[in-house]
Amino acid sequence: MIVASGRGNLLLALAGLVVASMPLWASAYHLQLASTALIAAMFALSLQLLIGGVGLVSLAHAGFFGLGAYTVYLLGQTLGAAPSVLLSLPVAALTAGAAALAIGALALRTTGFFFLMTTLAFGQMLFFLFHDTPLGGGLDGVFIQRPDLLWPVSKAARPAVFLLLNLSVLAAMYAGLWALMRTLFGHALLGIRANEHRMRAMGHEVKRLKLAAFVLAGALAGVAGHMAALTDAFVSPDLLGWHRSAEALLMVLLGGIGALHGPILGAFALTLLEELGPLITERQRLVEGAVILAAVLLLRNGLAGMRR
Amino acid sequence: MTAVLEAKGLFRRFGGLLAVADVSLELRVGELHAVIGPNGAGKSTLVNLLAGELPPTEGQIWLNGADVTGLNASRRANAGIGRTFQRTNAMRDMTVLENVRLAAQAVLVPGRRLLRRADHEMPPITAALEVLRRVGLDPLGGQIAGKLSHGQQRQLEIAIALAGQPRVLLLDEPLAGSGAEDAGPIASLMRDLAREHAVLLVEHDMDVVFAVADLITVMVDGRVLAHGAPAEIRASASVRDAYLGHGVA
Repeated sequence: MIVASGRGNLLLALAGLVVASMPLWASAYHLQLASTALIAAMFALSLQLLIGGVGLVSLAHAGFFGLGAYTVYLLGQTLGAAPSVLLSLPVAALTAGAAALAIGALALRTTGFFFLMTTLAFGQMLFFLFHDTPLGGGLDGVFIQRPDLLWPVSKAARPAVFLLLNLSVLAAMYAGLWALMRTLFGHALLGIRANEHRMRAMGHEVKRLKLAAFVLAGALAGVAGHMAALTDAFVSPDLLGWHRSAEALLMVLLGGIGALHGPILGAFALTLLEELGPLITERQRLVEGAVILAAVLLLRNGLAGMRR
Repeated sequence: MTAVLEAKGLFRRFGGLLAVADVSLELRVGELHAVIGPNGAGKSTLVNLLAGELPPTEGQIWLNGADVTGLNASRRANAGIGRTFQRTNAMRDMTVLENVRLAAQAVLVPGRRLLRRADHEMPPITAALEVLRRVGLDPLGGQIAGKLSHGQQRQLEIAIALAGQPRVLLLDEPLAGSGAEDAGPIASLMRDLAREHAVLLVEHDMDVVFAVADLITVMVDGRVLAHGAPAEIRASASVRDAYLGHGVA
């Protein structure tokens, strides 16, 4: 996986500045749309740690996203009041990470196609946990109390504040993963992606390294889910559905498996496509499908590979 | 000198096929022990048993007196067994240096240091550069591994095995597919390596084997047919009949 150069990071920072300036010129609707894209980008970026980072394709990832979102709801239920974001964010990350530890420890006994199917099964188990038991508060979803930010935010200021908050979380996540991929751990992950068998013969603890990546990716997906719950004040079992995992997979594919920042581009492109599709035709999925097909066929390294 | 690696009564069965049958051997530092035999004799299976890639059906393996039979390939690499593969098995898209550095990292970097920046952690880098110099690949450290010539890939294979600073080196056909021009340097490298390592060499090139080996084990159908110094093996009638043919003696 290519970790962006200094110039690449500068371009990303500039794009971030443009998004950060949106409250000055964009409507509340577009601010919310940008937040949706930022959260999708966090989610896809956390999946990129698995796909581009260590070569694992998981369909359980939406389960961790949804778990992070539902943590906000369950925390509110338990406390009887809205939790502080300083509590809900780490608890969401830890809960999703703990679930990833349990699921990863079992699923990583398999590889390739069987890993894909095992993660699909575990992801669906999480889905049904919230869909079919009283734990989730109903299969149609439930409105929740937002976690308290550090200061009171008026209703009118929410879209702008949430946008900046989501942008900061995404930026922190990207910076953290960028640094992580330069560590010995990150290099070992890339080695596993390139040639797992040889890495094992060299003496690397391949399974443990994969599990560590799986847990971290799960925790980061939980953070993304937490931000979704905070932004929308609504959670539903749909958040955990396997098609959400597949959507994130598409974002990674569209943006480029070969670059850390690819999924961010993919998430924005797909969100934009979902927004613009209905303007062209009622059959918007058809447009999306055609664009994704074209991107995958024509851009071997995704959107992130276009510059090279 | 005592054996670094010792195998006793190794068997390996694949379904109805007995690939390795009752093989025992000892490897010592300073000794180059060659294993020869026709295709299908079980030589590569033997390497895989010693490297931990395959568990033996029966038998035991000791490394420095400790039973390592139950350890997997990764643990055995950490315990001091390095190996090469018959077909070059590297990270093809990574540089030569990164391939060797990763191999050194596996053994030299403890888990708690894994969150340090890779370009700041010197021991694996130093070890990798040293090994590249030793096998003669030092000018090519920045080259992408997949773009090396065949002979250079064989050298990289040895470099990766050496990077973990093993005591035991298992070389599975290090000359496979090489031309005569590559054989000389690699043969003298093996001779050189045998001074500080216990080396097991599986090789088809008989000229090289008889030139570099201190001891030779001949395998046929998974069994040890003969064992001894090169001169004894060359003189043995049974080996000649079973394997070497009349041209060699």
